[in-house]
Amino acid sequence: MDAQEGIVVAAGIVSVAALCAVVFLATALRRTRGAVRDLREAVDARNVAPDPDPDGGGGRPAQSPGTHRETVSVVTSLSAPGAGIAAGDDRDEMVVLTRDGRAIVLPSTERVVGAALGRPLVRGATFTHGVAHALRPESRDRVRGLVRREFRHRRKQRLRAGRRAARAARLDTRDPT
Amino acid sequence: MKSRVVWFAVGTTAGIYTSVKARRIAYRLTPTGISDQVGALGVGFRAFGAEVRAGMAERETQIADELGLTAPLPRARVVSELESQESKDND
Repeated sequence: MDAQEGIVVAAGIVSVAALCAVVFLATALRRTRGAVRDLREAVDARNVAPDPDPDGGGGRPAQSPGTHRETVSVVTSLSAPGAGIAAGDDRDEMVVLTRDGRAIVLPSTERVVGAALGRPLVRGATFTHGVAHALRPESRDRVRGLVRREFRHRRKQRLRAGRRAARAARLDTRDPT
Repeated sequence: MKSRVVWFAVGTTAGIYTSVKARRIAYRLTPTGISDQVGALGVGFRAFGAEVRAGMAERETQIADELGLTAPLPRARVVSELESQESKDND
């Protein structure tokens, strides 16, 4: 057996080993996928359909064995008596109670609006729109008319006051007492 | 005769118009006239600011609508204030 035949045999052995490895990995992957799918279905089944509490204890679902680490499911209003948290100004805030005793406060719509519109880029965009709105021809004419009217009003008031003062002064000089 | 009367009327009108305009310009250059102009400009600045705020409120409402958020906006009252101001000006 010369060197060339040795290389061919070695290549054949390597390719067979690679084929075996691929088959093994494919089988393992299929098994793992099946296990993950089963787990996901089990978790979805637990989260979607919690058992209703027959005692009416705050709407909390009955705890099944082995589920004490999972979060949630009970959504109550902050002002609800069973929430255990003082109600704020926003009445539409909701509280999510986890099974391990944590309370997650969901932001109200007003807060979401405030957070969304309070970002610098959005504020800059709204300000630019506002300036463009104020510089429209109709707004400009309106402001110009307001300024002109205000100036005329003030001038008339001042002239009227001046005439009144002059009249009063003339009456004072005529009055001998 | 007729042309003399016409020219007399034209001259009188032009004189009255010129004197009124000159008096107004002279008033503008007095200290009281300048203070009146400054006050009127302040009113104009306030009106301009109200217009800017109205435009901002309009845009914020548009953005909130696009995002599907329907909470009342704090600046939305500016529009109603502007409308009431306009109705007051018209009165």
